[in-house]
Amino acid sequence: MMKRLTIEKRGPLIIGLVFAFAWWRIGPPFPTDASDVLSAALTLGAILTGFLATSKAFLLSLNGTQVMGDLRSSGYLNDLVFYLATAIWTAFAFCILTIAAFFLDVHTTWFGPAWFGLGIWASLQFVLVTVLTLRILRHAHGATPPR
Amino acid sequence: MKIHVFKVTPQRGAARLEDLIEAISQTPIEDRMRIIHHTDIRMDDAQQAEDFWLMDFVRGRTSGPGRLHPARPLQGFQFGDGESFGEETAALFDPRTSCLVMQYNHFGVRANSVREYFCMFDRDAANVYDVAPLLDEDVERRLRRKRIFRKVGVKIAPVRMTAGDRRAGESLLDVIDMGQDGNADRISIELSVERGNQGGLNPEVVRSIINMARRIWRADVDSVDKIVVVGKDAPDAEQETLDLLSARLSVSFSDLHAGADLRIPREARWDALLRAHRGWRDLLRRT
Repeated sequence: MMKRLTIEKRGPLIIGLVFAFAWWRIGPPFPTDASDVLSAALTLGAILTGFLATSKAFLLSLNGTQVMGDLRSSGYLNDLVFYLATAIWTAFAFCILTIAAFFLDVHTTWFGPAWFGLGIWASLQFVLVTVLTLRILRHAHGATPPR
Repeated sequence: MKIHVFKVTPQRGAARLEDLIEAISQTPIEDRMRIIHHTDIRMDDAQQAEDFWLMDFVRGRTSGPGRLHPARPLQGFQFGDGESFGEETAALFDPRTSCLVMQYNHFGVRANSVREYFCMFDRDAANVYDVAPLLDEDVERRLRRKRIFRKVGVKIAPVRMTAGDRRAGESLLDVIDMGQDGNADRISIELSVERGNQGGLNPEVVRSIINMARRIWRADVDSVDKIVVVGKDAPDAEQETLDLLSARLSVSFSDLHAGADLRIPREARWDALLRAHRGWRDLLRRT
């Protein structure tokens, strides 16, 4: 049984690859006039990137709280930063790829799967970071009596 | 003076503890203070003796004792600017066996605080160290021989995420909720069988409760108050009570005396640590 931490770390990428493979095998081709889809996707990607950048500020504001102390001394903070960084870069890469799509031919065999896979990866990574930040938010506001 | 011993395990990517201690000793004293669990903690002094590092930690106290005279009421102390009470705790680190020998001071710095101090000292590095108490083998052996369990009792503080969880591969999603407990300070669990009942508790259940409590105890010895097992080696054997917390390796010296300022001198405390370490040397080499 794989360690749960490994599943958490690699899950979004693996699922993204699985979906990319599935699209490549059985997926529909890109719509002939792709600009609407691409514009919508670009908007979504930009919103995710922006929101994730705000998460950085939120985490910084936790300095000095009990939760941040636990995250640091247990080593889990490294994982959290890794998830956040991956989320930001995949969302950003998705935006770049979508912009590039306006100039490239989206109907090549590789573009659909790559774009879809990257989109799934970025979305799952975003969900992971959001769930974690919300839970941290809940704890940071709990009463922690000094020892 | 009571002395305990712990095993230090650096996690991947952490600096060697002896290097960190050396770096702290070279930092100016005004930059060494860190706030751990709302209290000021600082490594006051660190010196090398043979291969070991001898350290003295201090912990700030915002309220403390007063001055007592047999013929006068209790009076307070005059504090200068920025002064407050401080409690000292001596520690010895042996890089060869990666063991930390610590003085036990009820008001002083505890093992878990020292651990967090080392983890948090260098803000630019991801230093994570695990500090676990070392146990006496005898109690372990007696526990393994028990076939019939009559009672098991544990009393623990709700646990928060630890480096041990991360090494075991628990996901962050799972551990992040730990410690949210309904605001309880302690959780007490006791399972027992009645007098008339000749059978015993399910050994699987007993062992998993003990392992859970021990896992918490290894992460922070102050968060577990009690792990007690009552059992027998065989149906007709004598019933034995095992206190698993007393299995900690510890030694007490009663020949230390306070000086004129009513503090036990640092040299005397360090000397006691060296004596304890010498006594445990063979055992430590085997861990």
